[in-house]
Amino acid sequence: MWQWFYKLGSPRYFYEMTTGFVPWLARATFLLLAIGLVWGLGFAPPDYQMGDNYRIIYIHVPTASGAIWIYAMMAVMAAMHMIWNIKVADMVAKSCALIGASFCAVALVTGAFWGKPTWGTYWIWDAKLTATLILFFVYVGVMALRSAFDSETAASKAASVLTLVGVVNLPIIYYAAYWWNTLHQRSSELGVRDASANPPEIWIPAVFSGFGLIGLIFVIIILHTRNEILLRERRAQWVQELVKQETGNA
Amino acid sequence: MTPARKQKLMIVGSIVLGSAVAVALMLYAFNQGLNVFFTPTEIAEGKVGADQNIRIGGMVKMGSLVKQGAGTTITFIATDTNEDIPVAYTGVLPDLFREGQGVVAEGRIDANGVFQANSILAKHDENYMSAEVKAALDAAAERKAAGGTP
Amino acid sequence: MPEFRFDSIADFFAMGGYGFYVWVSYGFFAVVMGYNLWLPYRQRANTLRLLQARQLRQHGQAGIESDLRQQQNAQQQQGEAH
Repeated sequence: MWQWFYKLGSPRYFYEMTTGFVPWLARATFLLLAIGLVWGLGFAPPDYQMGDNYRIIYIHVPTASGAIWIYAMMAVMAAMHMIWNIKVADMVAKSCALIGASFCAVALVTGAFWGKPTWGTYWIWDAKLTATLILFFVYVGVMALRSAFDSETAASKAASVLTLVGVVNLPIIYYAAYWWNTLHQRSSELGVRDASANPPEIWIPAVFSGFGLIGLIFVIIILHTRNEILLRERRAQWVQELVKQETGNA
Repeated sequence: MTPARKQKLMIVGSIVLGSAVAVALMLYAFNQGLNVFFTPTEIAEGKVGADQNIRIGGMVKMGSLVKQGAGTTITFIATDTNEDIPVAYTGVLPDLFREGQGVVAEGRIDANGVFQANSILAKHDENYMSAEVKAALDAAAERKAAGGTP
Repeated sequence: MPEFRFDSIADFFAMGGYGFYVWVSYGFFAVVMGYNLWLPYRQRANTLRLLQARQLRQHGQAGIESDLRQQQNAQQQQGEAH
């Protein structure tokens, strides 16, 4: 296990490992997403209070928690890069920023369009919503900071530091509805506490769309990282060979 | 200016700008209180000054919702089960507003102790249920209340 | 087996009166995710083209400096295309 993990730290191994893996992951992702979204949009029963409006849940909840988990992964990669100087970790961290910001934006927008008819407002400055907006700005800040440097090393260092600083925001988002009075409700517990609330016919499609989006996160991060590997390892023999093969120039 | 300095300036600029936006947002949130609303108990404890624009949050008490005349004016009692506060409001209501549901109202307390709301938001809990399940649950609760066995 | 909850396709799009909110949400989701999927494919094509051009060029003594310049150009191209 550790040896495998250690090997993944080698750009070449990472690239070659993912070549065969990504197409399968992508297929599984599209299958899961299609099932989850079609089921959620057409086949799940309407909520007794919110009617069909609550169907936004099947993208809102997984993108919101995805935005938090992508950030956590980016921070772990940043730390690994800083402590052990693993190059691939930095490339993965770089690849996390855009998809994380995108998930965060989708969570905010879908939340607004869910909030308008149910709460009566698109937006309120409550602790949970405000902290999520800050997460979006932190993602954008990490990307801007990285692109502000010409030197790859300096850019990685600065982005890593900012990434680690931003981690404080994560527990705030999750626990905001417990620590303060917020308009946003707390996290659902999938019928753990009370089997009648959140029955399976409502949450099963969310499991499909949730795993589908986890797959999508990894597909996109891996594809980005592979590009980054080609660019940064361009002087390596194996990359030169690969370019020759791919572009068909001898 | 040398490129290196320009670059450093840009770094400092982006850090300052980024943290300024974050802090400004946080201050904005703090300004309205990290809590978006006061509970009826907090109001009974006198935590809110008279004629202050605030948000209150609670449950719409069962059986307290009254439509005034033919218009869109309503009155109801917001409660946190501990303390009550009467609320009056004229205007459009969100879909989720109903008795027994959470509500957040913005406005001020008038001389009679009535909360005059100028906007009403509905609060939702973390539970989702289909209409069929809800109907079955209600029927079961009714049977229980009637004391009979199914 | 779950059943289809709408009587007609028109009903499905109407979403019980919430069509606007539901479809704007799903539409935004689809556009953003589509962009995120398309971007790495385009970047891969760009990267391969760049590295190919670099190979075709004779660069015996150019060394690190020209590499860096090429990389900057690549980033600029990517930036312009955004």
